Amino acid sequence: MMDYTDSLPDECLALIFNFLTTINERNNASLVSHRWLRIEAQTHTRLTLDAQSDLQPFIPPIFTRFNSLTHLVLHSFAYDDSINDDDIILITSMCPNLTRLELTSLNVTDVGLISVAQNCRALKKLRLEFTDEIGDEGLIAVGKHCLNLQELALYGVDASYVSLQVIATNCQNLVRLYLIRSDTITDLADKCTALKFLYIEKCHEVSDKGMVAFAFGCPNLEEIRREGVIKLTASRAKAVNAITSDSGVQEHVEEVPLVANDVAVAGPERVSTTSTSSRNGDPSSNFKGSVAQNCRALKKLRLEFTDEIGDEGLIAVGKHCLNLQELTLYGVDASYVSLQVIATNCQNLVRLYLIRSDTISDLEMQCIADKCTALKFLYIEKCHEVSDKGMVAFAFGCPNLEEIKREGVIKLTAGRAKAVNAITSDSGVQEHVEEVPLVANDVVVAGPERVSTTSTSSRNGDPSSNFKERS
Amino acid sequence: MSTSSSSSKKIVLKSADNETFEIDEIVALESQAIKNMIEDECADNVIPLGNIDSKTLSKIIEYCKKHAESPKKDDNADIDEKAVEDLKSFDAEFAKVDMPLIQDILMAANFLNIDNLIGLMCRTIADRIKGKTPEEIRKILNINKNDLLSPEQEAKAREENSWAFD
Repeated sequence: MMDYTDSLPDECLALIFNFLTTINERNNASLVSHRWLRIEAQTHTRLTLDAQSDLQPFIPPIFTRFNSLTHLVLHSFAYDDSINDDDIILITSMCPNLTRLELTSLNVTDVGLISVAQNCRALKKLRLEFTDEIGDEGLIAVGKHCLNLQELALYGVDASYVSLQVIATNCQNLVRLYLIRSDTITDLADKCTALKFLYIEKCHEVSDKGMVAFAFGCPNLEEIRREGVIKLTASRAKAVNAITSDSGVQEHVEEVPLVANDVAVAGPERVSTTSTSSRNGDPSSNFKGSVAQNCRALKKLRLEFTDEIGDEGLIAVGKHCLNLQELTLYGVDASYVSLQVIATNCQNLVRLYLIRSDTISDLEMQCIADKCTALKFLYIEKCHEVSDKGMVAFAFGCPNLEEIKREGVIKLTAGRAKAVNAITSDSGVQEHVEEVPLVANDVVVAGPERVSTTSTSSRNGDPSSNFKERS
Repeated sequence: MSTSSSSSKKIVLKSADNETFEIDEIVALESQAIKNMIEDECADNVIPLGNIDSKTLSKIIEYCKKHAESPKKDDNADIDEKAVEDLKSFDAEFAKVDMPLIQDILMAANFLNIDNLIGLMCRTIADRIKGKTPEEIRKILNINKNDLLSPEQEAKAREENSWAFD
């Protein structure tokens, strides 16, 4: 009987191998005969190798056999026991046609990467992951030699602005950039003219200012994804939003809020203010300003633990976001200076949430009451500087007020709860009287904690008793 | 062979065993090689195919007729899904033949340059050797015993293979 494949040309056999997709099917095919071994290797363009140091003796035979590779992945499970610079230099010298290279957990240094860049000039995609010894020097070589680079992913690589700038300048086809877990990247190259997509995750030293500069410098940018920024605050997420709308990426604006949402879901961790403020003065309020200017249609704004946001940013909100209907300030240091502007200008503001602020006092409440004519609902929680007097003034001042919810006021006394009750019945909110006692009850149920009277009395004399008189 | 449309131009194919097949030109054009011949005007009324026997040729004509009748993908973006399914099941039935005939069809399709049919036959062979050991593959395809790896060569190739994940 004759061999059914004998008369088939090599190209047909190669086509058959292309339909074998798993490594097992490929390996079995390679062992069938000399001809199959040769043709299978020729059609093997993508190879993923376990790159432990034990691989060393097999490098010459493996790369002699697989001489058509375009996509190579070298992956070691143990950094200390991986192939080294000499090995990677030998490998890449045997794979001149590589367009895609991925190195993970390899004990390879700049010396190795420099040779890789010289050997693999056709490279279009490069991914370096946990290659701790690689830094700017190696990456500069990539920027000099791999001019066709389209995608670069640096994961835990100590690169800096210096090498990124060389790559950005020389690799004019670079469209996708991934920067993950780097503490050395402080600024992004600002002339990535071809770049369409940036993914940046856990690069904590990259500031909002850097992001803005970057977005402005990349005319073709279509999408930024920024994740896991532990110093991120809601406002900074919004700043990213603002950045993208500044830089002509308007068509992707609907995607960007997803980023912001993601971030919000991820939970803003405690904000450490040192790094941002030391570098940029007070970037958050700058960015608040830019958010306000960019989001003029904003109807709802929620700021949570955005410790660096103060009056300056909120004034911008009051000036630009005239359609604001709902404002939530959670742990934000606002004062009457900014609240007055918001109250005066945002005539549609109907819902206001003030939570955990130590700067909002009676004065602020008075100011809101005087100006916020549209306000229907106030939620106030743990704003300990707001006294009953402030609440009364507030309730009197807001003609449309329908409901006040006040919770977790640690200085609350039974008398003060009554005052809140009294306030609401005084101020033309009679139709809601049956709701208001519930509020007061809630507060009582929530349990008044130990009453310390110092802060209120020091400012207002004895405000509680005043208000008892009045009620 | 009968024709569906009497007005269209006819092409006659002659097999190695001297059987003639009259087919519509549109069916013959499924073969890039015949198409080139017709375009270069070097095809007489009868095209002799000295390396294809009548059994293989009739199978190939069956395939080309079906595919010539079906709407082409590039002609119409929203082609009938039913037509696509119909063609798929035709191909599946068509490939249910023994190894020697698959080899002959593949050889002929390669000679006539019918891309879809080459792909179908290669995929059929691949499907038959998937999940099989090298020894089973050798049996299915009757691999030439003179070309087998020596035990040492096989051991070396296996060792190299063991480093590859993917």
